[in-house]
Amino acid sequence: MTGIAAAPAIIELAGVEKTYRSAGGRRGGRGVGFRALSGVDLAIAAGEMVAITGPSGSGKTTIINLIAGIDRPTAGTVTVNGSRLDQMTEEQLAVWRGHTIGIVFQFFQLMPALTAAENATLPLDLARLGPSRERKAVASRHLATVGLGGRGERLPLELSGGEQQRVAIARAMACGPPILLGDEPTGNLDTRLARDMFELLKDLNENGTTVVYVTHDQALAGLASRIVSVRDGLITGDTVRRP
Amino acid sequence: MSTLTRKAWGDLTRHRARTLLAVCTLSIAIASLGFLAVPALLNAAMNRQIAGSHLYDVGISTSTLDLSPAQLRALGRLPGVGAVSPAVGYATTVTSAAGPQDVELAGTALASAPVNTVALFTGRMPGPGEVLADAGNARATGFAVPNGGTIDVRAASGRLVRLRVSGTGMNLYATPGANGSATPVFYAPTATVQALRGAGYNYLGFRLTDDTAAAQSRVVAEVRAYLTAQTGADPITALPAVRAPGQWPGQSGFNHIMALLYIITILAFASALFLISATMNTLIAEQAGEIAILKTLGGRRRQIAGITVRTAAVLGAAAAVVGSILGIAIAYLLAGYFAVKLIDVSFGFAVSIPVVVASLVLGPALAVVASLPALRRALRRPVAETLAGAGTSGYGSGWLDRLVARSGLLAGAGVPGSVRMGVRNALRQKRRSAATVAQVAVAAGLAIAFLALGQSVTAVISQTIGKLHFSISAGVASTRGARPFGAQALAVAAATPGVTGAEPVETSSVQHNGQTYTAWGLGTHPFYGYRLSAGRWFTAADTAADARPAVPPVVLGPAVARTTGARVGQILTLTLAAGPTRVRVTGIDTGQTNAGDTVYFPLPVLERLDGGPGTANSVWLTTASTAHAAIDRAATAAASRLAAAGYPVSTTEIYVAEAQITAADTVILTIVDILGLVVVAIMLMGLVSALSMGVIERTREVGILRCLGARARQIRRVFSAEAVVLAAVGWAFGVLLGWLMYQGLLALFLHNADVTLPEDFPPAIPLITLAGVVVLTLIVIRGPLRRATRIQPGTALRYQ
Repeated sequence: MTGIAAAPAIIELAGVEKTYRSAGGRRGGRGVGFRALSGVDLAIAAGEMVAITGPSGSGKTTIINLIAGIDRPTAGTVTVNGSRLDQMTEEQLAVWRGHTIGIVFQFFQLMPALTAAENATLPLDLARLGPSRERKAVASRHLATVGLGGRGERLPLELSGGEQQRVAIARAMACGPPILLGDEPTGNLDTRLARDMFELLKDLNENGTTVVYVTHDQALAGLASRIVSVRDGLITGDTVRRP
Repeated sequence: MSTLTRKAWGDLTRHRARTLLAVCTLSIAIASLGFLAVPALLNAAMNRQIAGSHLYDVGISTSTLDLSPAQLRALGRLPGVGAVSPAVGYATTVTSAAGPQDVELAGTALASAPVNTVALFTGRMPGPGEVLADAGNARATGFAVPNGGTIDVRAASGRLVRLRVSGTGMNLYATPGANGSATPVFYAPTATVQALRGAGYNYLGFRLTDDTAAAQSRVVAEVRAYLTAQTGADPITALPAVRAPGQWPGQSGFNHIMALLYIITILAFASALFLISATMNTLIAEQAGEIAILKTLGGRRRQIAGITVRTAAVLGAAAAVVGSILGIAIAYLLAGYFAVKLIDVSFGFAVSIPVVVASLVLGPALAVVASLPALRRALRRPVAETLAGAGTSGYGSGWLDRLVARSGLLAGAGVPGSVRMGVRNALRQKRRSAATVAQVAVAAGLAIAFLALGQSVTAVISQTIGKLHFSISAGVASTRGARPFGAQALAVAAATPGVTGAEPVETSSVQHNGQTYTAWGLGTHPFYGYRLSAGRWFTAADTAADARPAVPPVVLGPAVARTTGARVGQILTLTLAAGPTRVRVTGIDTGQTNAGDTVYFPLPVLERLDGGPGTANSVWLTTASTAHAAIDRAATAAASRLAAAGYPVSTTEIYVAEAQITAADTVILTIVDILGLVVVAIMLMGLVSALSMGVIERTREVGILRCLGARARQIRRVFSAEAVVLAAVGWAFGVLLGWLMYQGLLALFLHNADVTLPEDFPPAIPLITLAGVVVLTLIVIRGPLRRATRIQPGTALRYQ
């Protein structure tokens, strides 16, 4: 198994393969298969900050999706926070994700009809964590943490790209998940904003959250404590940076 | 295949669910064009029936004539006569498993009669001791005897003769359905009926070489002269029936039914157009992003439009094929049902080629035309704006969004977040939401309009029945030697146990401009509950026994008034047995008795015009009890007493006639219910399509919610809230639309179908429709949502 994890692994991928099939080719049949991962072993300890890098189509996003339970592996097992994801139903995965995983997408994916505060409260509403007033207070704290304390009533339409991404981070942290995943979380931001965003992620990591993010930017990857390189569906490198 | 064509094809195959939904919706819309075939198919079936009936041009009722074959041949050789068929009609009573019943037996040469041919529908032609039941007996009179069953017929001698029913058939001249009669009809060989009644004929039917009115009059005169010379006296007993070219019995009722069908089929067609337009607009609007990308790649408007048009044309063609097949089936089933249930016409499988061709051509054409407005909008929209807006925004910038946000209606702690999100989502895609609201409004409006129409028809039934304030009608039997009622007959009837009142009535017929109407001779205070829309009823002076007005007064039924265009005070010339007579219109009734086709005379006036005083041929009797058994007993007793006094009669219990009137008006209700249901179902398909497509297009959003930890039921709540809001708003518009359509239908029924319906719009109808719309909405989106929540979030996120 690739990866240096002295502490207990909070994320484990063992022999994971993933092949995507399109729905039928031009002449019918089972369609074209695209092998995204060809046998990946990866262990990430609790509290690590890991950057997954690689060229386009290397399988980086697939790894993130498998960790989040958004996709299912074609072969192998995925264990996150002690739960075998391949043994859970979609409904169970959805509930599990609400408590365990926070996801930040490249294109923010905020609910356009909800304000910033409501977006940040949404995971708490879905998980029904605490009374309603308390959920709003928690969301407000998270918005303040990401520097948007006074802009909770704005709609996504009224926020800049950087502000939207901050709301996305606040939303991802709403339920206090032990793991935060980012799929090119700074891919849609300029360099300055990207660095600011990364600082936020680092703060979260220093507070105990395991952060795993995908980036094609080598400079941003270098800011993580561990870099996992992926190419053609295989892990080609796993480097721990000494502090 | 060029890249552009491949893209058009790919657009269809990539989104199979969406394509299938669009084809289904368009197919149903095109299938509804099959409604237009229903009147045409029924018309064709009726024309075949008319041609096969060899209907009379002149029909003459006579006293019983023992005509020899030579005399019949001579009648056939009279100037202007093409063919002649003698017949014998016998009014009697029968008993069967269904109970006692007044019936008419028609003795003719049946299928070989050159005039008034009897066509066989089921079974076989009757032999000796057998009869053919008229195919309209069950529907028009409620008296049905199955093939192989028997009836015990009362012969003129008084003995009962058993006859077996060998099948069903019909001649348009005699069938009760077309003539509005409540008396069942049976056909038999002439010898069979003569054996029951006595030798001789009492009816002659003629087909002429020239069917003009003048030729008809000449033939009547020739026949009268010949028969008078042969028998020594004028044997003609009633006004000769003349049939204007192109007219046939029951035509008025049939035309009314056709008018109703045309009204509703036009509504179905309009609904279909709306459905096609809404579906294609939604489909093309979803392509806005791809259209913008094609523009960035250098695509010219014509090239981009070509892709969209090809896609629309393929969808339309596929839908046209499926829809045409469905339409053929719908038209056949509907026409066959109406043919049997409403107009007693023999109906086999038939296809209206023009409608099928129109469906195949209109399918692709309408799909292309319907997509053009959305295509034009997409082509004009700036690229940057389109690409920036793809998948996000739409909420927050408009005045409506700010109104909703500021209202604080949804900001309360009591409103679940999923509901709040669902409601606001309704405002995100404003055009799509508006289309869904419109679909709901049209569907709800149609449902409301048809429910209200049904309510009005039900009201008509009660109004028609409520006008007859007597229990029994005793009519002069059409047997040899029967004499009209006079004072003695009235006294005998009034003295019958159980009878509380007796009114002499004459029922006859009059003609005006080639149309025949029922004539009733009544008193000043008749047992008929008239309600006039104009003018006055008859005064005591009008109905005095010695009244001899130079221009007699008449009251017209509503249909007569409409057809003749007559007003109160106007002078009309009506033709009766005595010949042309000028009458003055003193009033116009509103009653629907005899479908409003009645001309009311003062009784003494009609008696005089029909041949002298004392020609009343009916007595209306009121009874002490309204119980059916008591009425039956009184009717039997009255008939016996009158027969003993020399007045053989046949009786009709009004509660039986009321059931038949109800059945007649139920025809309209049936058309409204069945066609209305199908039209509403078509529009609901549009609603299904709009809601389903809305969920499919938001598959990625469902994936995001799943990523955030949303359970399936929480996602369902978001989309359900949005759908219910749209449904409720649509319903609100639908109430107004439905009321307007209802008013329009009432006006169309009056002007095109000659049917007056009262306005009746209870608040329960919109409320029932609201409940139906909400329930259906929640049911409809369940399927697509279940599908969306079952997709893996990763797959959902990649959905485009």
